[in-house]
Amino acid sequence: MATVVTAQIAEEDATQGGVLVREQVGLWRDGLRRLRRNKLALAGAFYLIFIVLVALVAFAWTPYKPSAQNVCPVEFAYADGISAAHPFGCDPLGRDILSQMMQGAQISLIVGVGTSLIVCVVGISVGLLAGFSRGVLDAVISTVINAFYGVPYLLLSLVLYLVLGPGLLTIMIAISATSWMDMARLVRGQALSIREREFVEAARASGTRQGRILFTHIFPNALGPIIVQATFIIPVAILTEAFLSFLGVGIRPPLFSWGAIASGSNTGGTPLNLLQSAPWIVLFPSAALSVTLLAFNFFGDGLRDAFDPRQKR
Amino acid sequence: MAVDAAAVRPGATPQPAEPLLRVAHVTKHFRAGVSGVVHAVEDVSFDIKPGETVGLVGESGSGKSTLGRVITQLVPATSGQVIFDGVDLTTLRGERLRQQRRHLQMIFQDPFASLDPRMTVGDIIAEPLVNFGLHDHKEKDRKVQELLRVVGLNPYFNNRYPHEFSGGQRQRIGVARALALNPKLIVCDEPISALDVSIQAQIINLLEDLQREFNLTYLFIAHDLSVVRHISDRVMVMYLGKIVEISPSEDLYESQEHPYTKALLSAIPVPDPKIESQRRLVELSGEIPSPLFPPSGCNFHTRCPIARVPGICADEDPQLQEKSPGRFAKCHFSDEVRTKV
Amino acid sequence: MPDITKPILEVKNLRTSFFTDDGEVKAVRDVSFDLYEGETLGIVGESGCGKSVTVMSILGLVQRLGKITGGQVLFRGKDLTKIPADELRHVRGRDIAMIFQDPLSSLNPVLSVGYQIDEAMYAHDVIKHDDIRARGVDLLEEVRVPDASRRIKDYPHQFSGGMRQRAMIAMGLSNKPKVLIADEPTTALDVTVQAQILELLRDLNQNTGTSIILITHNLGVVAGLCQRVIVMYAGEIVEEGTAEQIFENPQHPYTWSLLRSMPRVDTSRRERLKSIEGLPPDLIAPPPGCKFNPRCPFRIEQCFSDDPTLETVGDDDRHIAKCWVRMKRAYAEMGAATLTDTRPGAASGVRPPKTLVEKLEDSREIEPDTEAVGDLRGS
Repeated sequence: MATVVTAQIAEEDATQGGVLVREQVGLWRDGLRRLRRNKLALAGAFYLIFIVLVALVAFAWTPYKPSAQNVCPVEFAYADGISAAHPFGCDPLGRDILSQMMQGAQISLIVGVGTSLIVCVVGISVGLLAGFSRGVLDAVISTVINAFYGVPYLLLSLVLYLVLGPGLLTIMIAISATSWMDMARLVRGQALSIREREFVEAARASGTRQGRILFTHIFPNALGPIIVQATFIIPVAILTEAFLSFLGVGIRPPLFSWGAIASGSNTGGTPLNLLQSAPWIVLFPSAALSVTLLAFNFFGDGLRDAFDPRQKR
Repeated sequence: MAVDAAAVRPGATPQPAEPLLRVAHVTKHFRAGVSGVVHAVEDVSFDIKPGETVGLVGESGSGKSTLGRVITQLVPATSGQVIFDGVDLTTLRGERLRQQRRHLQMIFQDPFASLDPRMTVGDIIAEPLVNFGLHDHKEKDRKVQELLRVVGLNPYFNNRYPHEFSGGQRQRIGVARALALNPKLIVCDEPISALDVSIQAQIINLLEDLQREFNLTYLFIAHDLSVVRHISDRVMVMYLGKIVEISPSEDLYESQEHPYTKALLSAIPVPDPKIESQRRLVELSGEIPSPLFPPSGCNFHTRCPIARVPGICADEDPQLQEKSPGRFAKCHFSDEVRTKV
Repeated sequence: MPDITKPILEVKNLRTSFFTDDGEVKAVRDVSFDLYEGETLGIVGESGCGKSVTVMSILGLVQRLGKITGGQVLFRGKDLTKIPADELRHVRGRDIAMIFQDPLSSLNPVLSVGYQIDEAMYAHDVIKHDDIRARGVDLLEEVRVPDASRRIKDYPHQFSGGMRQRAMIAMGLSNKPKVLIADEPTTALDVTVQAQILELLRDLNQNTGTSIILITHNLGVVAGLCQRVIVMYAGEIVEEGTAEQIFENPQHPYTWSLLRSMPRVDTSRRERLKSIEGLPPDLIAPPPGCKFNPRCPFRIEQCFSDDPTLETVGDDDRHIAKCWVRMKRAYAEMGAATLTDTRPGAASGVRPPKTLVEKLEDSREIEPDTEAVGDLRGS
């Protein structure tokens, strides 16, 4: 038998017998095991680890200073772009694209994870409050959620950009402000359904206080879908950041994000003429962005499958 | 009302006059849709004495589970009183109600749904203790292990999760949780109907042993009359939100005072082909009416084989009356049940 | 009356496994039985004993991780495990119909009951298309749905549980099948409705001669309906015989224990129930020898090492049991008649061999500890 068999039977007592059972695994470990079997999710996870490593390395070292101009001759950059010294080429100001992209990885991850964290904090608190309290408070919160769905995120970003000025935090706040509602809705729905489950009733019957029910029964049981949702928010945030930066209302020099690099806005060019004269400036950051988004989505899908009990076999 | 003259189980403590639980005129209505009202429990009254097991049997839709939840105050009553140990639970709210839960526990039907899958067995069983600040950390583990041993589980299972156990074992965990606070009354809501046949007997025996050891009082809810009759001192039969018969379980198989009880008994299959071939089924016409629109008069008259329709049965709701010592029935013509049904 | 000489369905050495992450679950292990024309056959066992998987395998309905790993299912000389899926689909519903435990999930909620019954007939070309509409009403009347001509237009949610099950039976019968397989048809229903459905099945069997396989965990249900009974445990048939033989003279300790463990409405309630201790085995790693040995009060040394085979009991070759001991010997030598201690080995005094005990870690249910009870009360 391939599985580890912890068998069991009576002690020394002849009148007792036993049954053989397999070693059982915990719910989380069981999920991880299913995650490991999902090849795409695994590939996504490995790529993400790689990106995280790149971002970490970039804190200590990049081939050139990302904002340092003229590290390669301007004419050379336009001649044939890619060389051993500058594998991803240079921009018209003579800056190294690889170095910029390593920094872009940092920005993407910070924006992605940071936004996801903000969304989690806001969405989970609001959702739990609404789902657990039900009644009037729930109705009010649900109305607020719906109102937020009506806010156009581009407009909100522009307003925040004008009010708060450019910067990482502005971007994270802007994206969070337009994406916390999904999380809040999810958590509210989870709380509503879990609070009707029999084990919550059992907890009430044995005299458990409301707060404890919320934090030891409802929240842990909603955690699976929350983690999955939080994972899916990361690529959305990264994409939105890239888009905003591409439009020029996001990350500005001396910081570089993938969207900003690809837009060529740092160079004074437009994406269209860059694509003709120096396609690497557009293509490499765009590719990095696409693959990262793909990796997050594969990984998130894998997580969903792993923690969806209906998938159990 | 419902004074029980029947003998109690040998070994039980002498019966004090005061009931442990007195349910008086309890009614529970649920709202359904805009104007609909589900008449789940309708003016139900009964007593349970300390040390007694009272069975509550009925088909789905009879309101038996709702009644169990009204008694444990998981669902508030629409009207009526639930007097437990001298205190009317329906008047209590918040912390004062919570304190009463120490003495009034519940065992649930579904052993898979009633245990939090994210908690260890030890934490599940210890939760009632934690709720009332009864044990410090070290003592808690010891107590959990004792409880596990008492319900016949390995005491070193306390770090495992519910999904590692079979249905029967999980129900033992549920029993241990209910036992943790040393309650006076345990409401057992169909505790064995989700279990395999060979496991059901284990749980029934366990409940009976525990009752003897801890002087427990049970309200045992089930849809299976044979199980209820086995474990109970008295059996109450419920139909469409009302109790139609209360009888000492000894006498119930011999004779019935309500036609519904008779029909219910006649429908229970017996594992003996000879008896089965001679079985005479008391046919009830149609199916249980919706509790949204309960019939007029006696709510059983639409299916009753001896009902006078049109007549008194459709017009007048009979009261639950003592027909013979210790036996109550809610029927205008209970004398005819023996002969005509 | 059943023609006991002519099997209509022969299951031979059927094996079905589920390939899970934890290993191969051998859900059906070498099961063989015959179903005769016009017969009612009960298959009894606890959940996980393989009774449902057995009939699912017969109809090729084992899905996803499951696979038939061996054996034959002969219906009119054709092996259903070998024929193409398309042909099998025609056998299903036309020659062999099946009804399930939960009639609500078996019916499509957005189609009327009548439409679904008609559809079952259109699918198989047994009934002339002109007759289908009228037959739908006849069928509902046959399964005693009151006011059938009106109710045939209703949707499933307008039917009660019992009525839905009747509709399912009507659908099953629509193409005049030879065999009706009912998988726990009454488990979700109330007893009064259950009794009606069972009576209906009994009448259908007598009036139309349709063979019925009834799968259930409830021995009482079997006693009223079935002429022959198969008892399954851990994926195997442990005993088979006529209803009388099984209920009056059970020879396998499992059958015997199961019968004794049920609270009966017609007996005195004072008696303590004689439970079966322990749990059914894990089908990935069942115990060696007889799979019932960890729970059997009558086990002997041989039970731990050798797996018994199904052999005839007494003179009647219809009664077979899979046991080294058998209740006849248990009554004669181990005092089965007066046995109250139902713990494993209690009657025979046989403990598991040392080799087994050493290998195993204790994690089964143990006896309630009276000392612990004392402690608890003090605290």
